[in-house]
Amino acid sequence: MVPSRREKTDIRLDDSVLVVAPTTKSISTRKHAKYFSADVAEHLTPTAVSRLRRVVIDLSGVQWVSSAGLNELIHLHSLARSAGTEMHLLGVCEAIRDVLRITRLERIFDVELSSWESASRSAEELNPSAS
Amino acid sequence: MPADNAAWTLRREIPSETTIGSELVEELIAAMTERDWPPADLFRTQLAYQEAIVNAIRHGNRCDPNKTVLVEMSCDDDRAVITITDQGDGFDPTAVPDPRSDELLEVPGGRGVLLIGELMNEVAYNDRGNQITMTKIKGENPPSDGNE
Repeated sequence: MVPSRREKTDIRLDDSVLVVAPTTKSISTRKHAKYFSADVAEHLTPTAVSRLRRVVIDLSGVQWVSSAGLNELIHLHSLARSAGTEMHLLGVCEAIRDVLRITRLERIFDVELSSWESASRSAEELNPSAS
Repeated sequence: MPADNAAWTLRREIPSETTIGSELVEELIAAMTERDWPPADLFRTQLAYQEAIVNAIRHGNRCDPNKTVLVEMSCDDDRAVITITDQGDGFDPTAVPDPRSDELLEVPGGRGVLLIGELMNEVAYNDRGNQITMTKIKGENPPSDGNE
């Protein structure tokens, strides 16, 4: 049972895509990770998922994720897949990418970089000699 | 040696409550920030601490309110050292299965010890397995697995 209240997760339905944005700067404590997961799971019932094309976890405002946060992301990934939809991670910063790399969870999560990193990568590709 | 370059130290015995344990690292991060440690080091140290303190309280002391955790931290311009001792029976870190294996990759749990080992430069446990000492060296962040 999830204990009572705290920061709410920002959840919206955008053209059949469930966009979920944690409102905390980190998903680090077990308690907050559980809150976040419970908020999202409410929207992953079979009836609700039948109207979804995919689930996007927008981590643009999140600076780091601990193993407790990873556990809940894995749980949500399994829930989404069991319900017949897919889950993407959006706006993943370097610190979180490090954690996904270390744990090799990049292999199961579809990860998109944060917008500024995407922009700097594009700039590097255009000008590889730039430092 | 100027005062602002002196080593910073903290030694505190805390109850088995993760909220109290988690907040304590803020003091170390502030001391490291004052000494111009780079953001990547701060993040890695904070995350490793978070994993270790939760392990000590939850798995070591099993959240027993009659048990405490001893947290010792220090930092100077080059090294940050954290030692966390719980009052549990201890564990064998080499017996923790690798969560990156195919069988465990999608199973929640068991990633704390792995993260500590990868994020910090040196990690040591005492023989009993109820004390961890981890060291961060400024600017030395080995590439993560899979990163060239």
